[in-house]
Amino acid sequence: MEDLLNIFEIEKLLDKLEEKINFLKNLKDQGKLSNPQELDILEYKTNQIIQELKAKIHPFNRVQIARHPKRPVFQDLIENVFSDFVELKGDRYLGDDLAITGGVAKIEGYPVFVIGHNKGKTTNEKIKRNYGMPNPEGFYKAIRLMDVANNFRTPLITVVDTPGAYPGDTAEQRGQYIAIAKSIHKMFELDIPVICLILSEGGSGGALALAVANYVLMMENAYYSVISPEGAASILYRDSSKAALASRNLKLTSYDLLKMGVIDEIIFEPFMGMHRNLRQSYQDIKNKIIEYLIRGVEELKNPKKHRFERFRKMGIFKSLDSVMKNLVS
Amino acid sequence: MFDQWVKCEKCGSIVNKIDLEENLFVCPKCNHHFYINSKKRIELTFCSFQEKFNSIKPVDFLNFDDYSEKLLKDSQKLGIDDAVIVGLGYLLDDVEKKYLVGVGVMEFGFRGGSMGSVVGEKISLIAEECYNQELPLILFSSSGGARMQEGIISLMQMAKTVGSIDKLKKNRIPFINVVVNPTTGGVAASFVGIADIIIAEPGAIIGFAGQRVIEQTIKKKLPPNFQTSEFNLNNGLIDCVIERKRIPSFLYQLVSSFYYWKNKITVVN
Repeated sequence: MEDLLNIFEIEKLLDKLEEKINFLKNLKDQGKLSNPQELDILEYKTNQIIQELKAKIHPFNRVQIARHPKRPVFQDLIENVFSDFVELKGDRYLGDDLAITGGVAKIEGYPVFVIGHNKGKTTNEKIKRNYGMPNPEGFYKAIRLMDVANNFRTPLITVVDTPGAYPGDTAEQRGQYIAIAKSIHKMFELDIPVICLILSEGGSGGALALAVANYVLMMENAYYSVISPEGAASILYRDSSKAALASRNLKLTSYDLLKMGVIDEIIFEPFMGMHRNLRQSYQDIKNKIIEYLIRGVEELKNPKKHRFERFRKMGIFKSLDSVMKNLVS
Repeated sequence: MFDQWVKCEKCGSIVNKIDLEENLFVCPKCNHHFYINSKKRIELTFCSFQEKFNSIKPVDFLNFDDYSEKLLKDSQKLGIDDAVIVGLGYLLDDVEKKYLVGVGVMEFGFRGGSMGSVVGEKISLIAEECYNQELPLILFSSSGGARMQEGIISLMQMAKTVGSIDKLKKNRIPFINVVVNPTTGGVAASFVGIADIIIAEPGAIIGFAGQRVIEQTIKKKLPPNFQTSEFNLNNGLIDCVIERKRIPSFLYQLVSSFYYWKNKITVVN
Protein backbone atom coordinates (compact mmCIF):
# COMPACT_ATOMS: atom_id res chain seq x y z
CA MET A 1 0.00 0.00 0.00
CA GLU A 2 1.15 3.50 -0.81
CA ASP A 3 1.35 6.12 1.95
CA LEU A 4 -1.03 8.74 0.66
CA LEU A 5 -2.00 11.95 2.42
CA ASN A 6 -5.68 12.75 2.53
CA ILE A 7 -5.55 16.10 0.77
CA PHE A 8 -9.16 17.01 1.54
CA GLU A 9 -8.66 16.42 5.28
CA ILE A 10 -5.46 18.45 5.19
CA GLU A 11 -7.28 21.27 3.44
CA LYS A 12 -9.95 21.28 6.16
CA LEU A 13 -7.20 21.52 8.77
CA LEU A 14 -5.47 24.33 6.88
CA ASP A 15 -8.78 26.18 6.53
CA LYS A 16 -9.30 26.01 10.28
CA LEU A 17 -5.78 27.16 11.07
CA GLU A 18 -5.96 30.01 8.56
CA GLU A 19 -9.32 31.09 9.91
CA LYS A 20 -7.92 31.24 13.42
CA ILE A 21 -4.83 33.13 12.31
CA ASN A 22 -6.97 35.67 10.48
CA PHE A 23 -9.20 36.02 13.51
CA LEU A 24 -6.21 36.72 15.75
CA LYS A 25 -4.73 39.11 13.17
CA ASN A 26 -7.99 41.07 13.14
CA LEU A 27 -7.96 41.28 16.92
CA LYS A 28 -4.36 42.43 16.83
CA ASP A 29 -5.16 45.12 14.26
CA GLN A 30 -7.94 46.36 16.50
CA GLY A 31 -5.57 46.33 19.47
CA LYS A 32 -7.74 43.78 21.22
CA LEU A 33 -5.25 40.89 21.31
CA SER A 34 -4.36 40.37 24.98
CA ASN A 35 -1.52 37.94 24.37
CA PRO A 36 0.37 38.93 21.15
CA GLN A 37 2.55 35.82 21.41
CA GLU A 38 -0.48 33.66 20.73
CA LEU A 39 -0.50 34.70 17.08
CA ASP A 40 3.23 34.12 16.63
CA ILE A 41 3.00 30.66 18.15
CA LEU A 42 0.05 29.69 15.98
CA GLU A 43 1.77 30.91 12.83
CA TYR A 44 4.94 29.08 13.80
CA LYS A 45 3.03 25.86 14.49
CA THR A 46 1.06 26.08 11.28
CA ASN A 47 4.25 26.50 9.34
CA GLN A 48 5.73 23.51 11.14
CA ILE A 49 2.73 21.33 10.24
CA ILE A 50 3.01 22.43 6.61
CA GLN A 51 6.72 21.61 6.49
CA GLU A 52 6.09 18.17 7.97
CA LEU A 53 3.30 17.41 5.55
CA LYS A 54 5.29 18.73 2.60
CA ALA A 55 7.94 16.12 3.25
CA LYS A 56 5.31 13.38 3.17
CA ILE A 57 3.49 14.37 0.03
CA HIS A 58 3.18 11.41 -2.36
CA PRO A 59 3.47 11.80 -6.17
CA PHE A 60 -0.16 10.70 -6.46
CA ASN A 61 -1.17 13.49 -4.05
CA ARG A 62 0.18 15.91 -6.64
CA VAL A 63 -1.92 14.16 -9.31
CA GLN A 64 -4.93 14.67 -7.03
CA ILE A 65 -4.09 18.35 -6.54
CA ALA A 66 -3.65 18.74 -10.32
CA ARG A 67 -7.21 17.39 -10.70
CA HIS A 68 -8.64 19.35 -7.77
CA PRO A 69 -12.14 20.68 -8.53
CA LYS A 70 -11.12 24.19 -7.45
CA ARG A 71 -7.93 24.28 -9.51
CA PRO A 72 -7.83 27.07 -12.10
CA VAL A 73 -8.06 26.12 -15.77
CA PHE A 74 -6.70 27.79 -18.92
CA GLN A 75 -9.80 30.02 -19.08
CA ASP A 76 -8.81 31.50 -15.70
CA LEU A 77 -5.32 32.23 -16.99
CA ILE A 78 -6.78 33.97 -20.05
CA GLU A 79 -8.73 36.21 -17.69
CA ASN A 80 -6.13 36.73 -14.97
CA VAL A 81 -2.65 36.29 -16.41
CA PHE A 82 -3.25 37.55 -19.94
CA SER A 83 -5.28 40.53 -21.09
CA ASP A 84 -7.00 41.71 -24.29
CA PHE A 85 -7.70 38.14 -25.37
CA VAL A 86 -9.43 37.66 -28.70
CA GLU A 87 -10.39 34.09 -29.48
CA LEU A 88 -9.62 32.68 -32.92
CA LYS A 89 -11.70 29.63 -33.71
CA GLY A 90 -11.92 26.73 -36.11
CA ASP A 91 -9.57 24.38 -37.92
CA ARG A 92 -10.61 25.59 -41.42
CA TYR A 93 -11.37 21.99 -42.37
CA LEU A 94 -14.22 20.54 -40.38
CA GLY A 95 -15.05 22.24 -37.15
CA ASP A 96 -14.15 23.99 -33.93
CA ASP A 97 -13.07 21.82 -31.04
CA LEU A 98 -13.79 23.51 -27.73
CA ALA A 99 -11.28 21.31 -25.86
CA ILE A 100 -8.58 23.63 -27.22
CA THR A 101 -8.78 27.41 -27.06
CA GLY A 102 -6.49 29.79 -28.91
CA GLY A 103 -6.13 33.41 -29.88
CA VAL A 104 -4.21 36.66 -29.58
CA ALA A 105 -3.61 38.22 -26.18
CA LYS A 106 -1.27 40.42 -24.24
CA ILE A 107 0.85 39.69 -21.24
CA GLU A 108 2.09 42.77 -19.41
CA GLY A 109 1.66 44.68 -22.68
CA TYR A 110 3.59 42.19 -24.83
CA PRO A 111 1.47 40.85 -27.70
CA VAL A 112 1.50 37.05 -27.85
CA PHE A 113 -0.48 34.15 -29.26
CA VAL A 114 -1.85 31.66 -26.74
CA ILE A 115 -3.08 28.13 -27.34
CA GLY A 116 -4.11 25.72 -24.61
CA HIS A 117 -6.27 22.82 -23.52
CA ASN A 118 -9.39 24.26 -21.91
CA LYS A 119 -11.18 21.97 -19.46
CA GLY A 120 -13.98 24.29 -18.46
CA LYS A 121 -15.19 25.06 -14.93
CA THR A 122 -18.88 24.26 -14.57
CA THR A 123 -20.25 20.79 -15.27
CA ASN A 124 -22.00 22.02 -18.41
CA GLU A 125 -18.89 23.69 -19.67
CA LYS A 126 -16.77 20.64 -18.88
CA ILE A 127 -19.05 18.48 -20.98
CA LYS A 128 -19.06 21.05 -23.79
CA ARG A 129 -15.27 21.19 -23.69
CA ASN A 130 -14.93 17.41 -23.35
CA TYR A 131 -12.85 17.80 -20.16
CA GLY A 132 -9.99 19.21 -22.21
CA MET A 133 -9.61 16.04 -24.28
CA PRO A 134 -9.17 17.12 -27.90
CA ASN A 135 -10.48 15.43 -31.01
CA PRO A 136 -8.44 15.72 -34.24
CA GLU A 137 -10.14 19.05 -35.03
CA GLY A 138 -8.65 20.49 -31.85
CA PHE A 139 -5.14 19.62 -32.92
CA TYR A 140 -5.80 20.92 -36.45
CA LYS A 141 -7.02 24.21 -34.95
CA ALA A 142 -3.86 24.40 -32.83
CA ILE A 143 -1.72 23.68 -35.91
CA ARG A 144 -3.50 26.41 -37.85
CA LEU A 145 -3.02 28.96 -35.08
CA MET A 146 0.66 28.03 -34.72
CA ASP A 147 1.08 28.91 -38.40
CA VAL A 148 -0.77 32.18 -37.85
CA ALA A 149 1.48 33.10 -34.90
CA ASN A 150 4.50 32.24 -37.04
CA ASN A 151 3.31 34.49 -39.86
CA PHE A 152 2.65 37.30 -37.41
CA ARG A 153 6.19 36.79 -36.07
CA THR A 154 4.65 36.77 -32.61
CA PRO A 155 5.86 34.55 -29.76
CA LEU A 156 3.60 31.66 -28.80
CA ILE A 157 2.62 30.61 -25.29
CA THR A 158 1.04 27.16 -24.97
CA VAL A 159 -0.77 25.91 -21.88
CA VAL A 160 -1.07 22.19 -21.28
CA ASP A 161 -3.92 20.81 -19.19
CA THR A 162 -5.40 17.58 -20.52
CA PRO A 163 -5.94 14.05 -19.27
CA GLY A 164 -5.02 13.05 -22.85
CA ALA A 165 -6.31 13.09 -26.41
CA TYR A 166 -9.92 11.87 -26.53
CA PRO A 167 -10.05 8.07 -26.82
CA GLY A 168 -13.24 7.87 -28.90
CA ASP A 169 -14.25 5.86 -31.95
CA THR A 170 -14.90 8.86 -34.18
CA ALA A 171 -11.63 10.48 -33.06
CA GLU A 172 -9.82 7.37 -34.28
CA GLN A 173 -11.84 7.30 -37.47
CA ARG A 174 -10.71 10.84 -38.25
CA GLY A 175 -7.07 10.08 -37.53
CA GLN A 176 -6.25 11.05 -33.96
CA TYR A 177 -2.73 9.67 -34.35
CA ILE A 178 -2.08 11.70 -37.48
CA ALA A 179 -3.40 14.90 -35.91
CA ILE A 180 -1.10 14.53 -32.88
CA ALA A 181 1.91 13.67 -35.05
CA LYS A 182 1.27 16.70 -37.24
CA SER A 183 0.93 19.02 -34.26
CA ILE A 184 4.28 17.83 -32.86
CA HIS A 185 5.76 18.30 -36.33
CA LYS A 186 4.31 21.79 -36.75
CA MET A 187 5.94 22.92 -33.52
CA PHE A 188 9.36 21.99 -34.94
CA GLU A 189 8.72 24.26 -37.93
CA LEU A 190 8.06 27.48 -36.02
CA ASP A 191 10.58 30.34 -36.25
CA ILE A 192 9.16 32.13 -33.21
CA PRO A 193 10.06 31.56 -29.54
CA VAL A 194 7.61 29.10 -28.00
CA ILE A 195 7.04 28.84 -24.25
CA CYS A 196 4.97 26.05 -22.75
CA LEU A 197 3.36 25.96 -19.31
CA ILE A 198 2.31 22.57 -17.95
CA LEU A 199 -0.56 23.88 -15.85
CA SER A 200 -2.15 20.77 -14.32
CA GLU A 201 -2.49 17.56 -16.26
CA GLY A 202 0.12 16.64 -18.88
CA GLY A 203 -1.48 13.51 -20.26
CA SER A 204 0.71 11.76 -22.81
CA GLY A 205 0.58 12.44 -26.57
CA GLY A 206 -2.33 14.88 -26.31
CA ALA A 207 -0.18 17.02 -24.00
CA LEU A 208 3.02 16.69 -26.04
CA ALA A 209 1.14 17.93 -29.11
CA LEU A 210 1.27 21.42 -27.53
CA ALA A 211 4.52 21.04 -25.57
CA VAL A 212 7.33 21.06 -28.16
CA ALA A 213 8.58 24.43 -26.90
CA ASN A 214 11.89 26.23 -26.46
CA TYR A 215 11.19 26.54 -22.75
CA VAL A 216 8.90 24.32 -20.71
CA LEU A 217 7.68 25.61 -17.34
CA MET A 218 5.67 23.49 -14.95
CA MET A 219 3.46 24.20 -11.95
CA GLU A 220 4.76 22.51 -8.81
CA ASN A 221 1.71 20.25 -8.49
CA ALA A 222 1.19 19.50 -12.16
CA TYR A 223 2.04 16.10 -13.58
CA TYR A 224 3.39 15.23 -17.02
CA SER A 225 3.51 11.61 -18.01
CA VAL A 226 3.83 9.14 -20.88
CA ILE A 227 0.59 7.49 -19.70
CA SER A 228 -2.00 8.32 -17.05
CA PRO A 229 -1.28 6.69 -13.66
CA GLU A 230 -4.55 4.75 -14.00
CA GLY A 231 -3.66 3.57 -17.50
CA ALA A 232 -0.22 2.42 -16.40
CA ALA A 233 -1.66 0.63 -13.38
CA SER A 234 -4.22 -1.24 -15.45
CA ILE A 235 -1.57 -2.39 -17.95
CA LEU A 236 1.31 -3.10 -15.56
CA TYR A 237 -0.53 -4.37 -12.50
CA ARG A 238 -3.89 -5.24 -14.11
CA ASP A 239 -5.50 -3.07 -11.44
CA SER A 240 -6.33 0.58 -12.06
CA SER A 241 -6.63 1.18 -8.31
CA LYS A 242 -2.85 0.85 -8.11
CA ALA A 243 -2.53 4.28 -9.71
CA ALA A 244 -0.62 5.59 -6.70
CA LEU A 245 2.07 2.95 -7.10
CA ALA A 246 2.23 3.59 -10.85
CA SER A 247 2.54 7.34 -10.36
CA ARG A 248 5.47 6.82 -8.01
CA ASN A 249 7.20 4.58 -10.56
CA LEU A 250 6.48 6.81 -13.55
CA LYS A 251 8.38 9.79 -12.05
CA LEU A 252 5.81 12.30 -13.23
CA THR A 253 6.13 15.19 -10.76
CA SER A 254 7.65 18.58 -11.52
CA TYR A 255 10.61 17.72 -9.28
CA ASP A 256 11.32 14.49 -11.21
CA LEU A 257 11.03 16.22 -14.55
CA LEU A 258 13.34 19.05 -13.56
CA LYS A 259 15.95 16.49 -12.49
CA MET A 260 15.66 14.72 -15.86
CA GLY A 261 15.98 17.98 -17.79
CA VAL A 262 12.54 17.69 -19.37
CA ILE A 263 11.40 21.05 -17.95
CA ASP A 264 13.31 24.29 -17.36
CA GLU A 265 11.76 25.55 -14.16
CA ILE A 266 9.15 24.80 -11.53
CA ILE A 267 6.64 27.50 -10.67
CA PHE A 268 6.02 27.00 -6.96
CA GLU A 269 2.52 26.90 -5.53
CA PRO A 270 0.99 27.51 -2.14
CA PHE A 271 0.91 24.31 -0.09
CA MET A 272 -1.94 22.03 -1.32
CA GLY A 273 -2.29 23.85 -4.61
CA MET A 274 -2.59 27.16 -6.40
CA HIS A 275 -6.32 27.48 -5.70
CA ARG A 276 -5.39 28.32 -2.07
CA ASN A 277 -3.86 31.63 -3.14
CA LEU A 278 -5.01 32.49 -6.61
CA ARG A 279 -3.81 36.08 -6.74
CA GLN A 280 -0.26 35.09 -5.81
CA SER A 281 -0.30 32.14 -8.21
CA TYR A 282 -1.44 34.22 -11.19
CA GLN A 283 1.27 36.78 -10.42
CA ASP A 284 3.96 34.09 -10.22
CA ILE A 285 2.81 32.53 -13.51
CA LYS A 286 2.79 35.92 -15.17
CA ASN A 287 6.27 36.80 -13.93
CA LYS A 288 7.78 33.51 -15.08
CA ILE A 289 6.16 33.62 -18.51
CA ILE A 290 7.41 37.16 -19.03
CA GLU A 291 10.89 36.20 -17.84
CA TYR A 292 11.11 33.35 -20.37
CA LEU A 293 9.42 35.38 -23.09
CA ILE A 294 12.08 38.07 -22.79
CA ARG A 295 14.79 35.45 -22.60
CA GLY A 296 13.43 33.74 -25.72
CA VAL A 297 13.28 36.96 -27.69
CA GLU A 298 16.68 38.23 -26.58
CA GLU A 299 18.74 35.04 -26.40
CA LEU A 300 17.43 32.76 -29.13
CA LYS A 301 19.15 33.55 -32.40
CA ASN A 302 17.43 30.60 -34.04
CA PRO A 303 14.42 29.36 -32.06
CA LYS A 304 13.73 26.52 -34.49
CA LYS A 305 17.26 25.13 -34.18
CA HIS A 306 17.23 25.62 -30.41
CA ARG A 307 13.97 23.67 -30.12
CA PHE A 308 15.28 20.82 -32.26
CA GLU A 309 18.48 20.57 -30.24
CA ARG A 310 16.56 20.63 -26.97
CA PHE A 311 14.55 17.56 -27.91
CA ARG A 312 17.27 15.84 -29.94
CA LYS A 313 19.43 15.32 -26.88
CA MET A 314 16.67 13.68 -24.82
CA GLY A 315 17.20 9.99 -24.15
CA ILE A 316 19.09 7.88 -21.62
CA PHE A 317 21.02 4.87 -22.92
CA LYS A 318 24.41 3.18 -22.95
CA SER A 319 26.55 3.51 -26.01
CA LEU A 320 29.82 1.72 -26.61
CA ASP A 321 30.87 4.58 -28.90
CA SER A 322 30.51 7.11 -26.11
CA VAL A 323 32.40 4.80 -23.75
CA MET A 324 35.18 4.62 -26.34
CA LYS A 325 35.16 8.39 -26.77
CA ASN A 326 35.45 8.89 -23.04
CA LEU A 327 38.36 6.47 -22.87
CA VAL A 328 40.20 8.28 -25.66
CA SER A 329 39.69 11.77 -24.29
CA MET B 1 5.49 -34.89 -36.87
CA PHE B 2 3.06 -32.34 -35.45
CA ASP B 3 5.39 -29.40 -35.63
CA GLN B 4 5.19 -29.57 -39.41
CA TRP B 5 1.75 -28.06 -39.15
CA VAL B 6 0.53 -24.68 -38.00
CA LYS B 7 -3.01 -23.58 -37.23
CA CYS B 8 -3.95 -20.22 -38.76
CA GLU B 9 -4.80 -17.74 -35.98
CA LYS B 10 -7.57 -16.28 -38.08
CA CYS B 11 -9.37 -18.94 -40.13
CA GLY B 12 -8.24 -21.97 -38.14
CA SER B 13 -7.00 -23.88 -41.21
CA ILE B 14 -4.15 -26.31 -40.66
CA VAL B 15 -1.29 -25.20 -42.86
CA ASN B 16 1.94 -26.99 -43.68
CA LYS B 17 4.89 -25.09 -42.21
CA ILE B 18 6.92 -25.28 -45.42
CA ASP B 19 4.00 -24.01 -47.49
CA LEU B 20 3.52 -21.20 -45.01
CA GLU B 21 7.16 -20.21 -45.17
CA GLU B 22 7.11 -20.31 -48.98
CA ASN B 23 4.11 -18.03 -48.84
CA LEU B 24 6.09 -15.54 -46.66
CA PHE B 25 4.13 -16.52 -43.55
CA VAL B 26 0.79 -15.56 -45.04
CA CYS B 27 -2.05 -18.05 -44.69
CA PRO B 28 -2.69 -19.51 -48.19
CA LYS B 29 -6.39 -19.97 -47.30
CA CYS B 30 -7.43 -16.64 -45.77
CA ASN B 31 -4.51 -14.30 -46.48
CA HIS B 32 -3.90 -13.69 -42.77
CA HIS B 33 -0.47 -12.14 -42.30
CA PHE B 34 1.37 -13.94 -39.49
CA TYR B 35 3.82 -12.16 -37.20
CA ILE B 36 7.40 -12.43 -38.41
CA ASN B 37 10.37 -11.21 -36.42
CA SER B 38 12.47 -8.24 -37.49
CA LYS B 39 15.36 -10.36 -38.75
CA LYS B 40 13.01 -12.38 -40.96
CA ARG B 41 11.43 -9.14 -42.18
CA ILE B 42 14.81 -7.80 -43.26
CA GLU B 43 15.58 -11.09 -45.03
CA LEU B 44 12.25 -10.96 -46.89
CA THR B 45 12.58 -7.30 -47.93
CA PHE B 46 16.25 -6.54 -48.58
CA CYS B 47 18.90 -8.36 -50.58
CA SER B 48 21.75 -6.83 -48.68
CA PHE B 49 21.57 -5.14 -45.32
CA GLN B 50 24.18 -3.66 -43.06
CA GLU B 51 23.15 -2.93 -39.50
CA LYS B 52 24.22 0.38 -37.95
CA PHE B 53 24.25 2.01 -34.51
CA ASN B 54 23.96 -1.34 -32.76
CA SER B 55 26.21 -0.33 -29.88
CA ILE B 56 23.33 1.60 -28.26
CA LYS B 57 21.78 -0.31 -25.39
CA PRO B 58 18.90 0.35 -22.97
CA VAL B 59 19.27 1.38 -19.32
CA ASP B 60 16.71 0.97 -16.51
CA PHE B 61 17.30 4.51 -15.29
CA LEU B 62 14.05 4.77 -13.31
CA ASN B 63 14.56 1.39 -11.58
CA PHE B 64 11.06 0.55 -12.75
CA ASP B 65 9.81 -2.72 -11.20
CA ASP B 66 11.42 -5.67 -13.02
CA TYR B 67 12.28 -3.73 -16.21
CA SER B 68 15.96 -4.82 -16.14
CA GLU B 69 15.03 -8.50 -16.06
CA LYS B 70 12.45 -8.03 -18.79
CA LEU B 71 15.01 -6.34 -21.02
CA LEU B 72 17.46 -9.16 -20.41
CA LYS B 73 14.85 -11.83 -21.09
CA ASP B 74 13.73 -10.27 -24.38
CA SER B 75 17.25 -9.67 -25.62
CA GLN B 76 18.26 -13.25 -24.84
CA LYS B 77 15.17 -14.60 -26.55
CA LEU B 78 15.56 -12.50 -29.71
CA GLY B 79 19.27 -11.76 -29.90
CA ILE B 80 18.75 -8.00 -30.16
CA ASP B 81 19.27 -5.20 -27.62
CA ASP B 82 16.05 -3.26 -28.09
CA ALA B 83 12.92 -3.01 -30.21
CA VAL B 84 14.38 -1.74 -33.49
CA ILE B 85 17.10 -2.70 -35.98
CA VAL B 86 18.38 0.11 -38.22
CA GLY B 87 20.86 0.13 -41.07
CA LEU B 88 21.39 0.60 -44.78
CA GLY B 89 20.24 -1.78 -47.46
CA TYR B 90 19.12 -2.55 -50.98
CA LEU B 91 15.60 -3.78 -51.66
CA LEU B 92 15.11 -7.37 -52.88
CA ASP B 93 13.97 -6.16 -56.30
CA ASP B 94 17.05 -3.97 -56.66
CA VAL B 95 19.08 -6.61 -58.51
CA GLU B 96 21.58 -4.06 -59.81
CA LYS B 97 21.96 -2.60 -56.31
CA LYS B 98 21.43 0.92 -57.58
CA TYR B 99 19.26 2.40 -54.89
CA LEU B 100 20.59 2.42 -51.36
CA VAL B 101 18.01 3.16 -48.64
CA GLY B 102 18.00 3.81 -44.89
CA VAL B 103 16.09 1.10 -43.03
CA GLY B 104 14.49 0.68 -39.64
CA VAL B 105 12.54 -2.41 -38.62
CA MET B 106 10.76 -2.50 -35.29
CA GLU B 107 10.54 -5.75 -33.33
CA PHE B 108 7.16 -6.33 -31.72
CA GLY B 109 8.53 -9.30 -29.79
CA PHE B 110 10.79 -7.01 -27.78
CA ARG B 111 8.72 -5.29 -25.04
CA GLY B 112 5.78 -5.03 -27.45
CA GLY B 113 7.89 -2.98 -29.84
CA SER B 114 7.63 -0.07 -27.44
CA MET B 115 9.65 3.09 -28.02
CA GLY B 116 12.04 4.14 -25.30
CA SER B 117 15.37 5.97 -25.48
CA VAL B 118 17.13 3.38 -27.65
CA VAL B 119 14.38 3.09 -30.26
CA GLY B 120 14.05 6.89 -30.41
CA GLU B 121 17.80 7.42 -30.71
CA LYS B 122 18.26 4.78 -33.42
CA ILE B 123 15.40 6.15 -35.49
CA SER B 124 16.78 9.67 -35.17
CA LEU B 125 20.28 8.47 -36.11
CA ILE B 126 19.14 6.56 -39.19
CA ALA B 127 17.04 9.55 -40.29
CA GLU B 128 20.11 11.76 -39.91
CA GLU B 129 22.21 9.24 -41.86
CA CYS B 130 19.61 9.47 -44.64
CA TYR B 131 19.78 13.26 -44.47
CA ASN B 132 23.58 13.27 -44.75
CA GLN B 133 23.70 10.77 -47.62
CA GLU B 134 20.44 11.85 -49.33
CA LEU B 135 18.91 8.39 -49.03
CA PRO B 136 15.20 7.60 -48.81
CA LEU B 137 14.13 6.24 -45.42
CA ILE B 138 11.97 3.14 -45.07
CA LEU B 139 10.66 2.23 -41.63
CA PHE B 140 8.61 -0.82 -40.67
CA SER B 141 6.61 0.14 -37.59
CA SER B 142 5.23 -2.39 -35.13
CA SER B 143 4.67 -1.13 -31.64
CA GLY B 144 2.28 -0.81 -28.76
CA GLY B 145 3.44 2.79 -28.25
CA ALA B 146 5.82 4.60 -25.93
CA ARG B 147 7.64 2.50 -23.32
CA MET B 148 6.11 3.06 -19.88
CA GLN B 149 9.19 1.90 -17.99
CA GLU B 150 11.19 4.86 -19.25
CA GLY B 151 8.50 7.33 -18.18
CA ILE B 152 8.50 10.84 -19.60
CA ILE B 153 11.75 10.20 -21.48
CA SER B 154 9.78 7.83 -23.73
CA LEU B 155 7.25 10.57 -24.45
CA MET B 156 10.14 12.81 -25.44
CA GLN B 157 11.22 10.23 -28.05
CA MET B 158 8.03 11.07 -29.95
CA ALA B 159 9.21 14.65 -30.29
CA LYS B 160 12.81 13.68 -30.98
CA THR B 161 12.03 11.29 -33.85
CA VAL B 162 9.61 13.78 -35.42
CA GLY B 163 12.28 16.49 -35.19
CA SER B 164 14.81 14.30 -37.00
CA ILE B 165 12.34 13.34 -39.71
CA ASP B 166 11.47 17.02 -40.17
CA LYS B 167 15.04 17.49 -41.47
CA LEU B 168 14.38 14.94 -44.21
CA LYS B 169 11.21 16.74 -45.20
CA LYS B 170 12.94 20.12 -45.40
CA ASN B 171 15.49 18.62 -47.78
CA ARG B 172 12.98 16.71 -49.90
CA ILE B 173 14.09 13.24 -48.94
CA PRO B 174 11.23 10.76 -48.92
CA PHE B 175 10.18 8.77 -45.87
CA ILE B 176 8.00 5.71 -46.33
CA ASN B 177 6.47 3.92 -43.37
CA VAL B 178 5.21 0.37 -43.66
CA VAL B 179 2.71 -0.41 -40.93
CA VAL B 180 2.98 -3.91 -39.53
CA ASN B 181 0.44 -5.23 -37.03
CA PRO B 182 0.06 -3.50 -34.59
CA THR B 183 1.13 0.15 -34.66
CA THR B 184 -0.52 2.18 -31.94
CA GLY B 185 -0.09 4.92 -29.32
CA GLY B 186 3.01 7.07 -29.29
CA VAL B 187 4.61 5.43 -32.31
CA ALA B 188 1.56 5.91 -34.55
CA ALA B 189 1.23 9.47 -33.20
CA SER B 190 4.82 10.47 -33.92
CA PHE B 191 7.03 9.49 -36.86
CA VAL B 192 4.49 7.14 -38.46
CA GLY B 193 1.85 9.88 -38.58
CA ILE B 194 4.10 12.23 -40.57
CA ALA B 195 5.41 9.74 -43.15
CA ASP B 196 5.15 10.85 -46.80
CA ILE B 197 3.63 7.51 -47.64
CA ILE B 198 1.98 5.12 -45.21
CA ILE B 199 1.63 1.57 -46.46
CA ALA B 200 0.03 -1.14 -44.36
CA GLU B 201 -0.05 -4.92 -44.47
CA PRO B 202 -3.61 -6.33 -44.65
CA GLY B 203 -5.39 -6.64 -41.31
CA ALA B 204 -2.85 -4.63 -39.30
CA ILE B 205 -4.13 -2.52 -36.39
CA ILE B 206 -3.26 1.19 -36.64
CA GLY B 207 -4.54 3.82 -34.24
CA PHE B 208 -3.89 5.96 -31.21
CA ALA B 209 -6.00 4.72 -28.29
CA GLY B 210 -6.38 1.10 -27.24
CA GLN B 211 -9.68 -0.57 -28.11
CA ARG B 212 -10.50 -1.49 -24.50
CA VAL B 213 -10.08 2.15 -23.41
CA ILE B 214 -12.28 3.35 -26.28
CA GLU B 215 -15.02 0.83 -25.44
CA GLN B 216 -14.96 1.95 -21.81
CA THR B 217 -15.16 5.61 -22.89
CA ILE B 218 -17.98 5.40 -25.41
CA LYS B 219 -19.74 2.49 -23.67
CA LYS B 220 -20.30 0.70 -26.96
CA LYS B 221 -18.78 -2.34 -28.64
CA LEU B 222 -16.49 -1.50 -31.52
CA PRO B 223 -17.04 -3.05 -34.96
CA PRO B 224 -14.66 -5.95 -35.78
CA ASN B 225 -12.81 -4.02 -38.48
CA PHE B 226 -12.11 -1.05 -36.17
CA GLN B 227 -8.58 0.41 -36.57
CA THR B 228 -7.59 -2.20 -39.18
CA SER B 229 -5.55 -1.27 -42.26
CA GLU B 230 -8.73 -1.41 -44.35
CA PHE B 231 -10.58 0.85 -41.86
CA ASN B 232 -7.71 3.34 -42.00
CA LEU B 233 -7.69 3.17 -45.80
CA ASN B 234 -11.44 3.77 -46.07
CA ASN B 235 -11.18 6.75 -43.76
CA GLY B 236 -8.45 8.36 -45.83
CA LEU B 237 -5.72 7.97 -43.24
CA ILE B 238 -3.22 5.77 -45.10
CA ASP B 239 -2.13 5.47 -48.74
CA CYS B 240 -2.58 1.80 -49.48
CA VAL B 241 -2.83 -1.74 -48.19
CA ILE B 242 -0.23 -3.99 -49.80
CA GLU B 243 0.26 -7.74 -49.36
CA ARG B 244 3.54 -8.85 -47.88
CA LYS B 245 4.87 -10.44 -51.05
CA ARG B 246 4.32 -7.26 -53.07
CA ILE B 247 5.93 -4.89 -50.57
CA PRO B 248 9.56 -5.05 -51.87
CA SER B 249 8.57 -4.35 -55.47
CA PHE B 250 6.22 -1.58 -54.42
CA LEU B 251 8.92 0.07 -52.30
CA TYR B 252 11.35 -0.35 -55.18
CA GLN B 253 9.03 1.47 -57.54
CA LEU B 254 8.64 4.38 -55.12
CA VAL B 255 12.35 4.61 -54.37
CA SER B 256 13.34 4.41 -58.05
CA SER B 257 11.12 7.36 -58.86
CA PHE B 258 13.07 9.47 -56.33
CA TYR B 259 16.42 8.29 -57.69
CA TYR B 260 15.35 8.75 -61.31
CA TRP B 261 14.63 12.46 -60.89
CA LYS B 262 16.91 13.33 -57.98
CA ASN B 263 19.74 14.78 -60.07
CA LYS B 264 17.53 16.13 -62.85
CA ILE B 265 15.31 18.35 -60.75
CA THR B 266 17.00 20.95 -58.59
CA VAL B 267 15.72 21.61 -55.11
CA VAL B 268 15.39 25.31 -54.42
CA ASN B 269 15.04 26.21 -50.77
